[in-house]
Amino acid sequence: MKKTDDNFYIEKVLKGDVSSFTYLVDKYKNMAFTLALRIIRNREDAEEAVQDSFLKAYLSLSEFKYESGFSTWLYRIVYTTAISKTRKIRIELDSIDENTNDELDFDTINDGVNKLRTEEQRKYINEVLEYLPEDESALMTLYYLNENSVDEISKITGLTKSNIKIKLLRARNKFFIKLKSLLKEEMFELL
Amino acid sequence: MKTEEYKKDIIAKKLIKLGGLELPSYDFSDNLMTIIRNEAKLSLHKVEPIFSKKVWYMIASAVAFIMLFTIINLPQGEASKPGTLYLKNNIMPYLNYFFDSIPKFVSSIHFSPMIPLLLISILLIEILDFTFRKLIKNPKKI
Repeated sequence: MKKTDDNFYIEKVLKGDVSSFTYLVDKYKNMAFTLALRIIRNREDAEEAVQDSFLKAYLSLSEFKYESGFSTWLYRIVYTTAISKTRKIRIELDSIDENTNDELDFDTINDGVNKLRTEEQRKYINEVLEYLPEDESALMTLYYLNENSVDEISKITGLTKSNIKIKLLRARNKFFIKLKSLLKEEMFELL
Repeated sequence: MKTEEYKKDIIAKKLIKLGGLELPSYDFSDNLMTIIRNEAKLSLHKVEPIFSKKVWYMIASAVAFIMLFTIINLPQGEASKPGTLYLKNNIMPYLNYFFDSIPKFVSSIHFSPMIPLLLISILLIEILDFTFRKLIKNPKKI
């Protein structure tokens, strides 16, 4: 077992070396926090959810079966913790007509984003992700940012693979529509 | 069509990666590890209950089995009749038989002088077990 393997550190923690858990915390805290933030939409609450999730993971580490990766197991805890903490403030995006994506020019959107400065790119993209419903935002983060497979996302969220594919498609369309409208506003501001 | 979907996927991935990861506060790991270390220390002081849930289920099953065995071995009654008569003629004989059979059953057991001692020991273990369970639920009292 390599020292870079999660399992190496999990075994050490199970043998009583609590400090080895730091490796797992440092490795996964950013993605866990990003996932929680996409669902909860509040930094303090998201941090609390991630803290709770790591604590739950530590306390039930002996139940980890090594069947899936540690990250998949951890993100499932984060996802369920964040969902249960979510306050039911929903930004209604359903009113957006998803069929308008036929008129979307993805190259124009791509070029528009490329013209922005790095901080602005980050700002706009995260703003768009915040507009999406919590579950769709979380799916986009897992699939496109963390590059999890549909199978892994199914294990994390408990959703069926077909449901994930449909939700991802819908979320991606909403993402482009919202990004396009934000870029248009940006152009108006510049003019 | 597939190429178009693939293109959308590539652009979406590129854009979302530009958004990047969100970072928790700089002292997040330190705070979390402090909580985890405290939790680890606390778990060292925890006393496991003497009888697990499994043992309790076994005891309950044994008691249920004895009761069932007694009921099955009761004499069979006549066809059921509603009302007081039914109670008098059918239920009471069973109950009388049950309660009458208890002294016979007890007298048939050959008590060893160790049995009362054993029963008292089990009772004491149970009291300790119950007390420790309460302490685990409220660790501040330890």
